[in-house]
Amino acid sequence: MCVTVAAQNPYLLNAGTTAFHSGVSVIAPIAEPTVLPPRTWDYMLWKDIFVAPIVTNTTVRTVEFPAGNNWVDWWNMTIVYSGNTTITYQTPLEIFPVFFRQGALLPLQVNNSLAGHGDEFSAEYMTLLAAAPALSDRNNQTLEPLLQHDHHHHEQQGAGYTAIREFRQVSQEVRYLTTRNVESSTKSFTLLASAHPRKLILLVRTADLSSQGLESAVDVTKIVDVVDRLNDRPLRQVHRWGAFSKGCVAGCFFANPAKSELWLKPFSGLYGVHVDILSKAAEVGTW
Amino acid sequence: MLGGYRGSNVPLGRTKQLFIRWAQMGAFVPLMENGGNGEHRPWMFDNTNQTLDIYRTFVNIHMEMVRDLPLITHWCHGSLSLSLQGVM
Repeated sequence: MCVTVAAQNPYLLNAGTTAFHSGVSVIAPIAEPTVLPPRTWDYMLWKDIFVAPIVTNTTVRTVEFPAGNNWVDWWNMTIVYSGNTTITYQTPLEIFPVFFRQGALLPLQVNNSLAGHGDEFSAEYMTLLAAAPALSDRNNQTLEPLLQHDHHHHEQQGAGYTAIREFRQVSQEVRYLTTRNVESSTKSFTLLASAHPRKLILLVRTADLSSQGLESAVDVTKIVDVVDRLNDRPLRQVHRWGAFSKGCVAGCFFANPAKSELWLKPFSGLYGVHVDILSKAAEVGTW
Repeated sequence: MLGGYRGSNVPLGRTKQLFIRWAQMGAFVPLMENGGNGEHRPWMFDNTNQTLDIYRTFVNIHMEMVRDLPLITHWCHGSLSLSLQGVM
């Protein structure tokens, strides 16, 4: 029962079940444990979200980023802050200081457009949000296969990772790799997802995106432990948001350079998903 | 508990600013719950709908991350517990 229903789980469900199972907290304070008021109320919400709560009546706050990762602004995902730096962050009443780890993939259940991650047609899908993926300059780098249980995989440069469900054992994973080929000035984005019962929407937000750079988006559906590709089916490019969200069930992509967004619906993920996106050689600095 | 169980001496029990910031943080913890003493309805804090609009956005952010959490964790917990397995 848990296994089948948990296929719907967004970020906090996996956090909660894994935390329950391993006896840790979903919320990890940045400050050292103390009986006195801590030096900061900042905390991590599970592994990927950093929250700097506002505890005074103010619209500006000093934010001190944890070392070891870069941090993407929740409200403008083209902005990336380096770890171990301190900034002054403007927080009008509409804005709360929330950041997520560069390289994270946030699984979301989107039902409407209010939070800016889709619309009502997203409800049947699981939306995976990849914000400002870092590029790797190493041309020979390959994406590690899924289900390898290597706890260092998400520290690979240019790579992003999420376990959609890791309760008891990792059973569903998604991984991506962004690389830049220095000689040909092309960039590539590769997405791997293990078999999953729900349809996926991938939303990539990065300052690096532009629609002209998308030369091909090839979707390969394959069983994750089989090396050979079963078939190659190109994704169809659509040019309006409505044609993507309402008009397309699977197998299409929509690039929105004005918002620095790439939206992508792979084909059925019942046997796992492998998507390759290549940029044109001429489009230096863009996808 | 957004806004706090107990209010203070300000007219609605808490200020608009405090209520908004509390709701925003509430969206980014596993349990976002509204209730307690005094005024907690987000449309009661101003005449401009600003509090309501902000509140609505953050509720939706929370629900995108958390949908079905209470129900499913209950089931997951149940599947761990032998006493409930017959029911599952």
